[in-house]
Amino acid sequence: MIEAYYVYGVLPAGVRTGERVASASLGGTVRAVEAGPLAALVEEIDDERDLGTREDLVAHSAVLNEVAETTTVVPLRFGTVLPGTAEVTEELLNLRREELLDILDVLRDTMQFNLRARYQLDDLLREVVLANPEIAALRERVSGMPEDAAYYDRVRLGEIVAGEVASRRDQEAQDLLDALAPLAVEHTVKEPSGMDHLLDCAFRVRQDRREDFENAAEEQAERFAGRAHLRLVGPTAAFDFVPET
Amino acid sequence: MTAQQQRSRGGYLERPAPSGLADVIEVILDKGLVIDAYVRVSLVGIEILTIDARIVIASVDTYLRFAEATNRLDLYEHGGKDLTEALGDLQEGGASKKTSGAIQGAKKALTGGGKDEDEKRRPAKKSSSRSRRREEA
Repeated sequence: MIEAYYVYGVLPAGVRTGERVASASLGGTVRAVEAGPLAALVEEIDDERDLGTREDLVAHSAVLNEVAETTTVVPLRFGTVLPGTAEVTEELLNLRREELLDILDVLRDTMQFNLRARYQLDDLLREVVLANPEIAALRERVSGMPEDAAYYDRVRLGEIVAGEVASRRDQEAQDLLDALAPLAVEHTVKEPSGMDHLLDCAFRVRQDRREDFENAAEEQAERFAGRAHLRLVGPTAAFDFVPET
Repeated sequence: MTAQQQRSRGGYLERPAPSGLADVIEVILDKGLVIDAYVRVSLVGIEILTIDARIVIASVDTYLRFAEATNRLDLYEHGGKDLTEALGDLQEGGASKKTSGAIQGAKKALTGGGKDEDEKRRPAKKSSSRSRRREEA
């Protein structure tokens, strides 16, 4: 076996990661390689090994999220493999030292949460139809016609409904952000994902505001009960708040 | 702590464990620090959820999906105005609007895409990119 080193992330030197990540790994032992003020979280693997099974992805995520609970860590994208510890220290820790220290500085004592809110789509559409006589009438007309004949009417119906959904979504997504963003250091709104999309947002939250943030998210979930479902993932390592290059 | 500040025990907020989730997995593939020369990924047997962002973008395709979902609704399930009342409101208001918007919309090219109205699944990519070091060896 030719050795290689899988790299999970970078953290301050001298921090003990020990037992916390013992249960999560690519099959071996996660350890730290230090250089100056920084340390890389690595695991020795076979250089021939393909990386990309579900277990591999889960390991990457699990190791970093476990570490992030107690220590600031700069997560790497999945799949970084260096040929030796010399490269780990030279090409990562030393070469990019200033950059890494800056990122650690920014991320210090914060953690990421991801909120995804989705409408109960049928309830939302029902609300829209019942609040708009024009929509109701158009819908009625369309349902009585053969599919070809109704094409333009269907497009028009869909356009009006989509517009109504969009304006509710814009307002309610903003309401959610108004409730949660003040409790976070920063946030990134993510790409929409489907007709029932309400909000998908990553938040970076200080440790000492974590409970407030989680409570506020729970309150919002209750406020939207029956109309939208809220899901909060975290705390995780700050993947969304690390510059990519 | 006042009653208002106490954590709601309603249990409406879903709190899944971060590890093992499809959406977290997508993040680790897309985000995080990159050392270009050394990234090597060979996805095997993973269904990647392709989030169809086009669904939310204004297009004839989107409108047709909304129309279809609207047509399928069972309106009488819940309270509120029934259809007769809603139609009555409209008749009082005068003639229905000309569907000129639809003609504009129809001129836009259909974006194509799958039949699923939400997320699409596609089979795993089996690409792998070896590190530069290996190629030079």
